[in-house]
Amino acid sequence: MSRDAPGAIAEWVEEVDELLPEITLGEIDARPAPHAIPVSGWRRFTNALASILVGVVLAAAIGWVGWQLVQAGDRVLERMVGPDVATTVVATTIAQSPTTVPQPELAWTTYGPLDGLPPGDVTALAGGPDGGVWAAIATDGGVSVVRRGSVGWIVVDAGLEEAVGTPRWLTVTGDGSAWMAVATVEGGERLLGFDGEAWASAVDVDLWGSVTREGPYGQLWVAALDGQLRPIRLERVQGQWLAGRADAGFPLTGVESVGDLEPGALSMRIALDSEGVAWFAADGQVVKFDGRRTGQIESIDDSWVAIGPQRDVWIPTEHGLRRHADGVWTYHDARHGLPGRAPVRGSLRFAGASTWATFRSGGALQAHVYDGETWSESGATPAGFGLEFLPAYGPRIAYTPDHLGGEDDPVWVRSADTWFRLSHPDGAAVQGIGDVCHTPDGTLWMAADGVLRALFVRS
Amino acid sequence: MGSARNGDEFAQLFPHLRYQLRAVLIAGFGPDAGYAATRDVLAYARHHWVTIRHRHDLVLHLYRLGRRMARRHTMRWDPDPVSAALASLSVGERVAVVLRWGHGWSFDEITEVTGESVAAVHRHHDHGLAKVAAVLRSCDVA
Repeated sequence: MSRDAPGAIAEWVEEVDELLPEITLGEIDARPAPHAIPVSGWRRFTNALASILVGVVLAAAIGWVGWQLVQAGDRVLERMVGPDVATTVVATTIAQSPTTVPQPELAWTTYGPLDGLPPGDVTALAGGPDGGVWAAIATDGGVSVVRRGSVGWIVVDAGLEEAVGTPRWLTVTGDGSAWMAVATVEGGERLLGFDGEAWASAVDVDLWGSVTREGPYGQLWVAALDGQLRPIRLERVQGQWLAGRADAGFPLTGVESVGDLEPGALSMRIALDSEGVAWFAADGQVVKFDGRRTGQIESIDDSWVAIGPQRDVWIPTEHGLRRHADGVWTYHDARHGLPGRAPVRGSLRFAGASTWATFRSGGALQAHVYDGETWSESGATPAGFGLEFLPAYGPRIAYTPDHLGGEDDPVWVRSADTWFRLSHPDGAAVQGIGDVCHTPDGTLWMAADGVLRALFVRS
Repeated sequence: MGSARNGDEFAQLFPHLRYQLRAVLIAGFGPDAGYAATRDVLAYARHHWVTIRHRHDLVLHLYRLGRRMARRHTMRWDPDPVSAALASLSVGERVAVVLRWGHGWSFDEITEVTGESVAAVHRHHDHGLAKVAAVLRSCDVA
């Protein structure tokens, strides 16, 4: 007789149940604990893999916590004993930690009292003709000036009685003289000159707005307000400070009276070429001056002038740039690959044989580079910042010279066509930059938040 | 006190655990290996009751342990046609058809113990039942 499968299975179960004895609780209680349950090879493998992963995660977490503790320790150390003692720690840490600063190979060094600097706020920097760097420091006892030579920092003069206030700018001329403008407590500025031995009040003029200083041959031109905006040439001749006014054709037109203008509304840009010829830009004009007024060129309202290493003079136009080289003026505009509008004020920079300019493009700044024949686009600058250069490394640095001292992140570094935001070793953005200067060895010197820092770019 | 209370709790659940584990392990691994595995896994549960008593998938957990314990024993099947037919099935197929027709479990009850999806249990059941029927038909013809 044929059986159906479900019925056969039911019968089989009944037979098995009858055949096998019932398992009792007492029997179970009496049994020893069974041996370890065998684990399959695959399960053993997955268990081992999971253990390794957990170990890696734990190690990473411990490393991260340790790193945070080291960072906190650095900050506490710096707060307790000043930035100079933390210098080595900070510089070493940043160089060895790719996670803190994902930038090209950088090394920070911070200088403070233990390095020989008078305690105070570093607010002005200048590169010297010998490749050293000078720094002006506002201290409780007056302004101190230091310079860095081959053996470290040397105090040029400490606690200048003539200067109680904040140094605005500092420049060192080719003959070793130094000039410094110090903001006085009365709200004005005082110009001091250093003849190699002592500082003295150089000239009694009212400096105006954004003072420009140049001086490869011991000359210093400043824009001064004497009822009118005039350039003044400062020189030290036979131990005497001289202030010469370029009165031939000056003042520039249109600046008859400052009236109620806010400080900074007027500005004069001054550039000196390698022959000592001065170019002044203000109020829509650019003027060449080589002892007498020799030319006047129309420019944009907010004009400026830049002089390249080949004595080529660049001024902005409404549609691009105008270049003076070998006695000939040429125009650079949309036909040459430029955007067809005026470049950003003061944005021309020279790096080797290249000339760089930045133009506004929407909310960003677009960099263009000129190789001597054509202009080509070179990408947007980070966060709309203009370009600045470390002379030894080309277009590596971007910051906004017009906004130094702002609260934004003003400094970026470029490496392998990528911009990196420059940050302090603890990860905080570089802020509060008072002054910046370069030295020929490729170091970028920075007075930020009153502290003197040096940044070395090694790649 | 805690130990006694835990022991009492196990004793209360013992008949339920015994019935379910015995049914599913014998269905899966045959009378000998399944019965031995049932004793082993109940003993394991007895000794580790404190650590496993709160598991929401207690029976499923013990079944998975029991499967590994059953593989330590030799599966032996009688030569009768039904045992031979069951021996030709996979473990999943045997569990599905034996629990469904030998113990009258619903498919949902089977999935709760084995941890398989309902679709998988259905598939195992259909394939297993067809194989058993085929084996029984061949025996009848012979």
